[in-house]
This record gives sequence, structure tokens and C-alpha cells, in this order.
Amino acid sequence: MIKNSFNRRRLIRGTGALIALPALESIGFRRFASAAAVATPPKRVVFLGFGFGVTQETWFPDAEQTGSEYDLSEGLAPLARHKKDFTVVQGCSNKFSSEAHWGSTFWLTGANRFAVPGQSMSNSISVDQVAAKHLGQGTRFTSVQLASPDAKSSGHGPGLSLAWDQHGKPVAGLNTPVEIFHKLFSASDLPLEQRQAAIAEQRSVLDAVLTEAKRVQRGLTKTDKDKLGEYFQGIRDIETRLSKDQDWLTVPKAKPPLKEPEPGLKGKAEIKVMYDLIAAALQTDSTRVMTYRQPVQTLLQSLDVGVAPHNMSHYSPGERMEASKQRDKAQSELLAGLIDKLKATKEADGSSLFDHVALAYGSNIRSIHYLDNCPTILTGGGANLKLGQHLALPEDTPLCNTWLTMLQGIGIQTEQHGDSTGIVKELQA
Amino acid sequence: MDNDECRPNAPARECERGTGSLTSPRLRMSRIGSTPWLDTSWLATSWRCLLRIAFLCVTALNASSVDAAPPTARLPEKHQAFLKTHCFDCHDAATQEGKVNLESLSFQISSVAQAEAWQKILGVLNSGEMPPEDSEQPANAEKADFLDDLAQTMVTARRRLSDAGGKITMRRLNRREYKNTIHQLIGVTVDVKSLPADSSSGAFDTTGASLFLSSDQLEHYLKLGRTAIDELFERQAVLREEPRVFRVEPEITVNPQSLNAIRAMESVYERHLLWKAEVDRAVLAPENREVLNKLRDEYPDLEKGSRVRLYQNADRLIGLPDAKKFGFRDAKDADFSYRGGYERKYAYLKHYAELPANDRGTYLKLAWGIQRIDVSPGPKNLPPGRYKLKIHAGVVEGSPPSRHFIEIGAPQRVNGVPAGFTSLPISSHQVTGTIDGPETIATELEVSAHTQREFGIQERQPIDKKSLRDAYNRDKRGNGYGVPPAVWIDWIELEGPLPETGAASPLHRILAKHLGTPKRNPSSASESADRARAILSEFAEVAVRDSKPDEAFIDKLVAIYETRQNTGEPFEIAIRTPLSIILASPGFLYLNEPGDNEAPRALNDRELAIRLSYFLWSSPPDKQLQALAATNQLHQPKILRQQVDRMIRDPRSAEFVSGFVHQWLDMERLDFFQFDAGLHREFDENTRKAAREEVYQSFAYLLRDPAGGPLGNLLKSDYVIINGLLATYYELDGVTGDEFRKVKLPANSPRGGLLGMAAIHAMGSDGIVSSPVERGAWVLRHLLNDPPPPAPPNVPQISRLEDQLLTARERLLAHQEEAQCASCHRKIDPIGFGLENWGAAGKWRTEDIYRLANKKGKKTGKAKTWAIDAAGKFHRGPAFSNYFELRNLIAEREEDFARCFAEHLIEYGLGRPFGFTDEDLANEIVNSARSQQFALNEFVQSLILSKPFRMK
Repeated sequence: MIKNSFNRRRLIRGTGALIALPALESIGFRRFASAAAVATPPKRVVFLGFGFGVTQETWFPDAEQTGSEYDLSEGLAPLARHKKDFTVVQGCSNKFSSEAHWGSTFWLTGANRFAVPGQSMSNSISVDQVAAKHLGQGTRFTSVQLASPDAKSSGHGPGLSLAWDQHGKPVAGLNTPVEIFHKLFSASDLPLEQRQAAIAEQRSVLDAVLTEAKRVQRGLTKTDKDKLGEYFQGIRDIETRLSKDQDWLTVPKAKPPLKEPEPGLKGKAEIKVMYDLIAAALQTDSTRVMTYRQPVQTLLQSLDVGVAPHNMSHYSPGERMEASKQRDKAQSELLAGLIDKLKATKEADGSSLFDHVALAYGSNIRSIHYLDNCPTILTGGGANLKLGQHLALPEDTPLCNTWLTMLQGIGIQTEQHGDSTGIVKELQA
Repeated sequence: MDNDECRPNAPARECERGTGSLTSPRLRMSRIGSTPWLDTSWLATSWRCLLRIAFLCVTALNASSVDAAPPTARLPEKHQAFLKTHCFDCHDAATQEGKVNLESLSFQISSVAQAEAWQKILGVLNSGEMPPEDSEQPANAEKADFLDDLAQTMVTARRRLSDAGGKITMRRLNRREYKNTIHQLIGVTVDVKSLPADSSSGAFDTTGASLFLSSDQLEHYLKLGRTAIDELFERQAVLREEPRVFRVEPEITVNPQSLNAIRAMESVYERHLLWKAEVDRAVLAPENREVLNKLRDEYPDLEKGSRVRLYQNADRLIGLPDAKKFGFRDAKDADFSYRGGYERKYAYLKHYAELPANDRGTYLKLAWGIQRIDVSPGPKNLPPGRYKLKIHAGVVEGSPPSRHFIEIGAPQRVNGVPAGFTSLPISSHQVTGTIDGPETIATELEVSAHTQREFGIQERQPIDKKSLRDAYNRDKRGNGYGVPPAVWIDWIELEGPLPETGAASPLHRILAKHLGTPKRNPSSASESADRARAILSEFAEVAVRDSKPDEAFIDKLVAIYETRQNTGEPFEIAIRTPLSIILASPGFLYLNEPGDNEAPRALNDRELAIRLSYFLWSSPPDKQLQALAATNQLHQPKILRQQVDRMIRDPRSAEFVSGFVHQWLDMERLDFFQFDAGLHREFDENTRKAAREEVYQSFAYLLRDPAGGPLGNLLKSDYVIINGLLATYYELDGVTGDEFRKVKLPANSPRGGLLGMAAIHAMGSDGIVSSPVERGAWVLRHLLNDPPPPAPPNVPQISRLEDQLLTARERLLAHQEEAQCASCHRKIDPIGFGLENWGAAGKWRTEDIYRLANKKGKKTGKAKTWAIDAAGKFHRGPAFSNYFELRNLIAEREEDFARCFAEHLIEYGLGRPFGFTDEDLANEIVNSARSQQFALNEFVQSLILSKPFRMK
């Protein structure tokens, strides 16, 4: 067996963060997925990324009209009923981004792909994972990543979800509503002993491959040892997950506030159910950090638009541009629906879930092949941001400044994220 | 290979913002070794000649003085003045245009990064790119002096750095290699789609430093390994049974259904007529006047005489009997059952039903009716394994040859209604027989744990169904029924799972050895543990490629087996988890070679065999390689050469061909766009696949040619390597069948060589129109070794000319209005214009058309047609008057092409980004290949025999 070098407490201390861990003894008394009942509802963060950007001509509000008195654009019209409750931010970009088909890879990280010499691809931690380190300790799932199988054709770029871990490696996402439902809410059929045995076996598996890794490591060059370090790190990360699984083994999962989704949903219906699952996961406090890498290809199919996403992204006036506008409209309608849902969901203290969520919606791609002025909408009361306005920030403001503002807004005392140069003061309420 | 496997040296899109991409994976060296166009400026400028001489000296020096102490490489300080005068205006610490700051660049070159930066300066001065044309130019003498010293310094720097750089980082098996290795070990094909794509990052997928691993991935390996082991056991169980045959006679499965549909439509028609008569009567009744007026207000069409809306809304009429009485739900149903059913399809189905030979088979339909014949014996009857599918079919006389193809795929149903395939067709086949003399098409299919367990067959068709229906409507207006029939199917037979052929997989052998004894159930627990230990240690040793795992590892695997066995699992189940752990262990996942960065060593024969087989086969060494390694003979040059020859002739080298060529030539672009089926009907997924294969096959043909196929044949050749589908597409007669073969071209054919291939031109299009820019840039990048800077992001798309009737050339000249665009586009565009005779989907054309869009964005407005003018002139190079002359000029640049190819081959083969320190190796390979008339296999031989390939 691996010795307790993966001790959960020590690992977290190692990251330099100060977090209050729930007392393990109390776990048995938890009623649902969350830690002991909380007086103030916890903060949550959600990131929704939509790959190929938007129709720039019709999605962005007029840059001349800023502040709270601005006209909603055609593409944002479906959000009209929530106009006071979200902010549109213009002017942000990730300065290192240079891949015109990668709308999600660096969206939340702001990393320089070429930062590591001799390596053609590197990334760094995404903002949701930074938040998860702080918000994720007391819930069953540290964070939950939603994705869709059509990532490549939807303009998301490399990655398995929007999330990248602290070593800049992709974090896997679940691709279908049914999988997510089961992960969040389905009780295991197995008796406790068998589930314990399964965890024990997984530990033995890690222990076995660790032995083999040590053999392989012998005699390697320094460079290769560093490379093999990724494998060791992988083992440690799984072990950390197992420890958490162990802690939660005797706590039943939350009761689902919604029915199991039908299998095979695609496009608009799929995104809608995913949004419902996001609300449900947050409502039951199964997790406090969620990301969703949304499908574009199936969205278009479900709108009966006969244009492939990449073709659409290269729009010029005509059929492709019309497709692009239809996409914008559908996405705005879906977001409006999610906001409705968050507002309608009540917390224990009578406030709404919306008041405690910090939600960002956007992409690293503005439109076509443009990577500046990333489309960004912020909503929810969780990060104490000034909502109901249209902000036109100076050109090339680091998008990470916005992420940093969000992090600080939810109470995380960090001074830097990605290539941030400071916070966006105009966003603070 | 999978379409999504490879991301070739994708442009880093950094032209303007990030010329500081010193860490970019494929920083291009200046082309001091290549032949620039022999224009007068080249001859007149003496410093260029000097540079050439200096360069030749480098090669000589390197060969002779490997052991010399590394000297320092320092550019004389006096040259500060040159930089200050000519460069700092834009590239000092304050301005840093293009993010290039020369003020901070050290004159002492002591790192690869610095050398790359200086090499870049050398390159841009050399090519005349800098200083920009519109700024003051240095005097010739001054420039020559500077470049002379810089070149000399680079020579020194190169020698100094050549030992330190160029490490080969240990590499994890990429997705292709992982899949092949598992297949070789246990004979099962795993579905690797859940693993992250390895080459999406821009480097070759063999570049160790860029192949990362995460905890999620590790968990995936564990899962995939287990799935594979499970499938192996499932396959073995099935193999004990006889193969089953499942036969489909479409006159039994399809035709009766069609007849039922016809009868149902006839009934609808009769009832509809009765109902319609009632409606028509009701309309005339005075009490409906008001309703009619209202309807006319709501539907202006009614005024124009169209009565569709009237029938749809007939329920609102007073005195009309309920539609239910006629067997319809309501008026809408009564209307649509007729218009969407009878009126649309009846004549079509009836026509097909009355065709001859319907009692023996069926005609494949397009657009409506039963379009797909399913082979669905039920999942239980299709266990994993290999199957043979036979289709007895013929074509309808007089139908167009482009329709004489069928495709096989996984049937899709939407709400229970058959709807094409769930994914791209598995394969396509040419139908060569006739209805009176049908022929059998035979193909093999693989069923795995992760594949859909049924198959469907349909006439080839584009994915976009709208275009099919448009074509149907056009035909129907002409012939009264719709698309005429083209393919007739007699019967379909699926047989399998077939017995394994060839040698059993290692795990199969190991299991057979230990499980096949009469004592199938060992009496004691210790005996069973011993058996588990034997299986696990033998498999582990093979899996980590004949290395020896520690006993402690095996102990732990056996312990996991015992734990499971103690819970009552039978041996065959309990052994699976420990077996699958081996497939996620680092000894299996990494091609590990012990070494010391400071003291490189020669690889031992075992390591050499592994490097070799992963280079040429993307799979582990076979028995012969293992045997030669075990007896320490492999490293002997003669034997090594023989083995390389053997390996490239082995079918497994197809992995190298597709893996390398796809990435080298940036073929990911081929899948970028969905082709407009209205404009390019024939360029469907089958043609796309065949076009891709043509590129691979043409390369493989040269690689495997025992006489040494010259690389230059890829620039121009008097033959093509195609199959029946492509021959039909290329309108070349006399080629039928699905296999690729060499076909001699008629004189003056524009085909032959990469520039005549559909794939290359389709890559240079957006699925609708050709893109001269993409094509020109591709030629510069891949054929002429003169890559333009990658397209910068955030450059406006030129759509302001959308509403003007201009030729493609006129439209693109807008690129040259801006100086920063013109600097690249004057090089790129002329080549692209020279290729304009190739349409978006790679068909030859002599005219092009531009059509304005209407308000709804449909391109139906006024049009302009023009004759294609391919004439042009290379920037600072020779002129050409048409495509053929352009191709000849490009074919003359074999030396540049060879250099470009060698650089990419080094990168793929060594698994590290081609860098400054590999320049000498590239020269060595090109020189060696030149002595063999640039025989393609000589590049490969020469790389494998080189020192870097054989060193750790």
C-alpha cells in the first residue's frame, strides 16, 4: 500500500491555501451531500463556454452606449427580462492566444501555449479549478465538468472540458446529461463493504503501478525523469480523489430535484437539461464549482440549420451569417432560461440561488477568427459584481483580470491569475 | 488513421503579434542551403555567394572536428552599429515591433534560443524581407560585411550547440501507437476517442516533450485496458463456435414494405379525394363566405390561387364533415397525408415497384422510401470479431457512373425512422456487375465491444439530405417520378466471426498455454495463484517490450488477483483486472530508454528495435526484429538496412505513411469543411476518404518502390495511384474496383503529383469556393520550403466586396492594398491564382462564377462568369503562363522539397521538434538522398542510419 503520503490535509496545506476542512467525524451526521447545515448559503461559480464565438455585428451592444442605459443587441434580446441582472463586458482578451479554432483551451487559463521551451503545448490552471480549491472541499464533488462529445467541431480546441488542473493538464468532463445525473444523484447499488473493497482495490492498483514507475525511473535522464513526473503526479491526483471518495462513502447522495433525463438528447434540448442539472447540482450543494463546454454542432442541428459549425464561423452575409445569428439567439434564450431557474430556486434562508452564484458565459473566440474582445457576460450575485451594465474596457484588457475580479469577489484572496495585471474596478459593486 | 488524430505543424497564427515565437515548435531556418530563384539580384549580390561558401564549410568542419573543444560564438561588437542604423527603429527595447527586441539580444550566442533568434535575423536579411522595402537599405558592402560575420558566428555557434541541444525526450505511446500496441499484444482494437488527441497541439504526435499525461488519462488507460481484456475473453469464447451466416434477400425484406407503403398511399389518395370534394363543396356554401374572407386576410397566397392554406384550415369551414370520418386526424392531416405522402412519393415508389427484376432483388432509393438495406441479425448474433460481408449487386444500364457506388455504415434511426448512418460510412464500394450479370462485392468488417452491432447499405450520398431532395424534385419535374434507379441489390450475406488468421496474439498464446491444460481448475488456491503469477509475469514482460518488471510489481498484481479470487470470482474473471493494470503501467506506456543528458550513449539493440518499429510501424517490434536484437546484430549497418527495407515493404508501414504524411502535409485541413452538396455533389465522404488515401498511396508507392521511387514524383508524375471511385471522379476510363493501383495518365493530363490531387485542392477551399491564399501558402510551406509567416489572427475578413461582381483575382487583390498583407500575399497569391483551374473540390475547370446573394443570403442573384487566367509570376522569380508551366517550375525545385521533407521526417522520426541543432542532420540526409536521385526510401534509410537516431 502507498503510505499515507497523500494525506488529504497535508496536500491541501501544500498548495498554500488556507481552508477550513470539515471535521471528518461529523460526516456521518450530514443529511445530504453538503457539509453541516450552513447559515449563509455558500458561494458557487459556473462557467459556460460556447466555442466558436458570436456574430459580432449583432451580438455586441453598441460600444458607444455603456453603463446601465444601453440598448440590448439583437443577439442578446432574449435576455431582456434579466437586463438588470447581468453585465456585458467588452475589450477583454487573452494576449497569448493565437489559435483561431480554440475557443475554450485557454479561455479560463490565459496561458501561453509556448511557455515551455521544446514543448508545443502547455497550459496552466483554469479559474474554475482555482475556485474549486477553495470552494470544493466541503462538497462531495470538488468540481463537476460538463462537456459534449462534439468539442472538436464546435471550436473548443484541445482539452477534455473547460477545466485544466494545477499542472495545466486537461480535466475530464462528462458528456451526457444521463451520465451527469447518475454521477450527482444515483446511489450505488453495491453494499458498503463492496464499495470499500473497490476503493481498496483502486489503491492497490495505484500502488502496483507506482512500483513499476519506480523501476522505469531508474537510470532515466533528467529530462525523462521530469516527463515521468507526470505519471507520478497522476497517481497522486487519483489517490487524492480516492481519499475524498472514502470520506463520503457513508454519506448518501442528495435526492435529485429533477427526473432522470431522457437518453439521446441533442442540441438545444441537451443544453437545457444540462442547465437544469447545473441548477440541481448547486441547489443540492453536491458541488459548488461547475463548468460546461457547450455543444455547437448539435445545437445547430437541433435548430435545423444545415450549416456545419466551422462553416458557420466563417460567416459573411448570407446563409452562414443567418445560421450564426440563429445560434446566438438560441444560446441567449437558453442562458435566460438558466437565469430564470437560478432565480426561482430558493436557498434555505429564503434567498435565491442566483444571489450566490457567480456565472460567466463566453468564449476565447470573438467571431470568425478574431481572438480579441472575447464575448463575456457575467451574472449572478455570488461575486458581488456590478450587474446591469455594459462595460467597454480598454482594448486588450487581460480576460484574466475579469477572472481575478470574480475570484476576489467570491472571497478568494489571490492576486494573480494567468496573465492578469489587476482587477477590473468597474466590475466591483 | 483517424481524421482527428493529427494536427500537423499548424500555423501558430503569430505573424504580427508573436514573431517572438522563439519557442514555437517549428521555427523555420533561413534557406541558406536551398536554391533561390536564379534572378539577377541573386547573382549580383556577392554576399549571398559568400554565405553559401560559408555554409559549405560548416558541413565540412562538422564532419572533421567533432571532438574539438567548443569555441565561443560571438558576433563582433562593431556590428552594433548596423543593427542600430537599420533595425532599432522598429526593433529596439521601446518599440519591439512584431515583438522582436534586438536591443536585448546578446552578441554572444550560447543558447539554442539565441541561435534561433540570430538565425532568424540571418534569414530575413537573406531573403530581403528586412529592412522593409520602403525603408533605407543598407549599402551592399555594409550588409555583406555584417552577414559574413554573422554567418561565421553561426557556424561556430552551430558546432558549439550541436552536442547540447537535440535531446530526445522519452515518449509516451500516442493514441495511434497505443491502439496498435494493444492490438498487437491482445488482438483487440480499442476505441481511443476518449483519450485526449495528441497532436492537436501543433507538433507531430511523436514529439515526446509534447505528449503529456494526466490523472484522468491514467484512469482512462485502466478502463480501456480492462475493456480490451474483456473483449479478448469474449472473442475467445466465440471462436469455439462455428461462424454463422446471415443472409438478406431484399425482395423479402424491402419490397413488401414498399408495396405496403404504396397501398397505404393509394388509400390515402382515395380518402383525400372524397374529403377534398367535401371541402370544395363547403367552400361554395354562402355561410362560409365570412370564413373565407378571414382566411384570405391571413394568407395572401390564397388570393394568388394557391389553395394549400385553404385545405390546411378546412376545419374552420361550416358544414364540412369531420376529417375523422375519412380516416384523418384533422384537416392538416388530411392535407399533409396527401401532399407530403401521395403527391410527393407515390409515383416514385410505384415506378420502382414496377421495375424488372424486383422479384429477385431491389433497387436502392435516394431521397424517399426505404433507402437503406439493413443487415441486423441482432446484437447477440454479432459478437466481437471479424466478419465477411458479401453484396451481390449490379447497376442499371445507362445510369451515371458516379452513382455506381454503395456505402456501408452503422444504421441510424431517429424516432424509430431509418435515417442514414450514425457516423461516416465505414467503406464505399464500386458496383461493377449488371442486373443480368450481378457481381459479388466482398469486404471485411470488424465488430468490437464499442461498435454498433449491425450494418446498413445504401447508395453513396452526401450527408446533406436537402441537396438530394432538390435533385429529386428536379428529376421529378422532368420524368414525373423522381431520381431514376442506379443500383440493384440481389442479396447481402454476413458471415462470421471468422477464425483468427495469422499468429495468435501474445496474450492469447500465454493464456492458452496456462489455461489450456487438462487441469482447468487447479485444486488448491496456491496452485491457482501460481498460474496467475505465470500469466501475469509472462504478459508483463511482453507488454513492457521484453524488459523485466520488478518481482514486487508482479507480487502486487498477484495480490490483486487473490483478493478478487477470494470473493469467489472464477479464474477467468479474477485475472482480468491485474492484466489490464499492466496496460496502464509506465513500462508499457512509455518508450523509456535509460540515459544521461550529459553523456549520450548508443542505443542497445533492443532499444534500437523499438525505436525503429515505432518509427516505421507505430507498433512494437516483431519476432524478426526481436531475434536480431537478442543476438546483437540489428545495429550492423547492413542488417539494419535490410530490416528497414523489409519493414517499409511490410503492410504495417501504412501506419508510418498515414501518420507521417497526414501531419507533414497539414491534411487536417481536409476535414475542416463540410462540402456544399449542391455545388460539389460528388465530393461526398467517400470521395474525401479516397482523396486522402490517394495522397497516402502515392507516397507509399514511392517508399516501397524497390528501384527507389524519387520524391520528385510527388511534384509531377505521369501516373496516378487511384481506385475506381477516384477514377470516376477524375474521369479516367478503364479503372474499376476499390483497390488503389498505378494508372498511367494520358499526355497533357493536369493530374499526376500532389498538385493534381483532389485532396490537396479540397484542403485549399472552404467547401464552397477555392481559396487561392490557402493553396499558395500550402505550396510555399510544403513544396517550396519557403513558408510564409502563419496567418495572423484578428485580420479582417474581406467581406466588404461581397456585393460586387468581381472575379476571384480582383477580389483578392484587395489583400495587397495593405503593406503588411502585401508583403506575404505578393508571394502567396500568384501561386494560388496559378492553381485556379482546380475547383473547390479538385475538379478541373476553365471557368469560374460569382453569384450575388439575395436578401435571405441565398446565392441566387446576378452572376458573373469568367475564363480562368492562371498566368502569373513568382515574387522575384520566373513567370508562368498557365498551370502546366507553374507545375513545371515547382517540379524543378526538388532540392527545396527534399529539404523540407527531410526536416519533417527528422521531427517525426526522432520525436523532437526540428531545431537549429538538426540542420547538419538534415543536410546529411538530403546529401545522401541526392546521391540516389532523391529516392524516398533513402531519406528514411539515411535517417535511421544516422547517429542521432541511434543515440540516447
